[in-house]
Amino acid sequence: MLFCYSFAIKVKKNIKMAASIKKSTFILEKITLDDTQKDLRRIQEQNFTQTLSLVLPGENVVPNFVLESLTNQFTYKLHMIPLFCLIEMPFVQAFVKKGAINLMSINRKLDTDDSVVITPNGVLLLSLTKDTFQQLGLEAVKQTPMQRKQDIYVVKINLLHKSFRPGKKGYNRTLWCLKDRLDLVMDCLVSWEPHDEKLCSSSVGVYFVDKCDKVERFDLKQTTHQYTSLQCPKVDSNHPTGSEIGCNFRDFFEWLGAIACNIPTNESVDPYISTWACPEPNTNIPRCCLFQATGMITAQAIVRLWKALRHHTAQTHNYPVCLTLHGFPDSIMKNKHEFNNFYIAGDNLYTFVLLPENCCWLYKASVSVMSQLPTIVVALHRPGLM
Amino acid sequence: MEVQEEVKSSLLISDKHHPFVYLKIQLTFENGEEDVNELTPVQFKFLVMQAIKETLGEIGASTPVDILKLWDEGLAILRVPSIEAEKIWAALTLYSTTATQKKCAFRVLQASAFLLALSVNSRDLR
Repeated sequence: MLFCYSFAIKVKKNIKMAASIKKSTFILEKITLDDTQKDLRRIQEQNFTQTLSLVLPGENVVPNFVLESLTNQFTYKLHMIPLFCLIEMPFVQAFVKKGAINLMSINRKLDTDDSVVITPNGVLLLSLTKDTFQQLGLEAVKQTPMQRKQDIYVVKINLLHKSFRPGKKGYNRTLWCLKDRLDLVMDCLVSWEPHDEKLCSSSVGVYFVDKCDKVERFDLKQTTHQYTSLQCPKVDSNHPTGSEIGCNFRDFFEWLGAIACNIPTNESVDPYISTWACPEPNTNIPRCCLFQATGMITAQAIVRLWKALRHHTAQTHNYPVCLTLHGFPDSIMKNKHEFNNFYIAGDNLYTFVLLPENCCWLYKASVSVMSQLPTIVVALHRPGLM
Repeated sequence: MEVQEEVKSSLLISDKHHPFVYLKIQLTFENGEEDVNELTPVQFKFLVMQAIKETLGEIGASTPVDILKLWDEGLAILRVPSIEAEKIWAALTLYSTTATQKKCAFRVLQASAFLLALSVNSRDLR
């Protein structure tokens, strides 16, 4: 009897879990790379990127410009930093008001723990569980339906607000709450893009040396994988839903996943094990390079990479070049405007596929955010769009 | 003509129907009764099908389940039809003893509607 009961609970829980994945958002946008810089705006919106993966067909090794665009950036891991240090005026004046700061807590689970981020536009966000929120005594913003379900409260503090300074009520109360009422400490990653070329981005690491237990460099982990004789699906940029000369956009996205997971595309696999095959129509490419960098990658570094990549592919451009940005699944913000949520997955992917004729496919794949649904429905029904 | 050009140059497709769910799973044996590294993909698939058959019967076992990748340590990526995903998940969770009476467990480590998301382990950054 007990077994049946626990089984029922497990099945019910699983049904709920899978439902949340099945409602994932999947959007393909075809954009033209022109002066509107829509692609750059999209990249700049993506503040917290954990992994960057680049598929370069026709390349044997990773080109130098890829590595160079990621070298100028220093990321530091701050061990047990008290959160009140993040609202102190010297920090705000030096790093939040000037340049672009990215800070987020790590080893913290968004759905069960408290976490913190500071976005480059100077907003500090705290994602708190119900217990911490009630003890802390700071006002939260309106919850999304998912946050209400999970009992998560988000406190938003605009560090750049003109009245957010010592001596003002709001500032004093925030400082008191974070310092005296509840001494919250977390491990954080921080990187800072200076506003002036003369300054070094390592200044932020030096600043925190006395403030927390330990500050250490957090380097990007880079991996490269070379493929030879790889089957690559053909893409018809004008017909994403599939045509005689190009495969379906969803199949292409699955192929990208297969490449990233190192799943063989041209070996014949026993159909008992797997029925997956490279989408049709396809072509054989003699060599292909997969590059992955994991750490905290700032939007500025990705913009540098993207510009260099476009310049590089302008000359040799026979196969689609793909850049994927994996957002931190435990980051409070998905991008500049949307809250992230983690139930069983916190997927937040952006993929840019560079195609001939100055065309680009932009995939957006993420776990669903309920408040986003109406926008998507409107987009679907816009006349003349499909 | 201008309108057509405009339609051609920008396009937006939103697709909420996901035909598959991808699961990253790990098979472990109790007390190292069997070495998971020695399992071939065929044997691994057999165990997965056993798990499904035990809970969902012959009909459940007719679900097309693909083993896309098998690594060391019994790690694998499964592709299952999204409509059956929750049942297969439950069946894998409940499986505890192989046909040769060896205690084992399937653990679902990651689940996503996108294969690309499984290439990065979301919570292993230290």
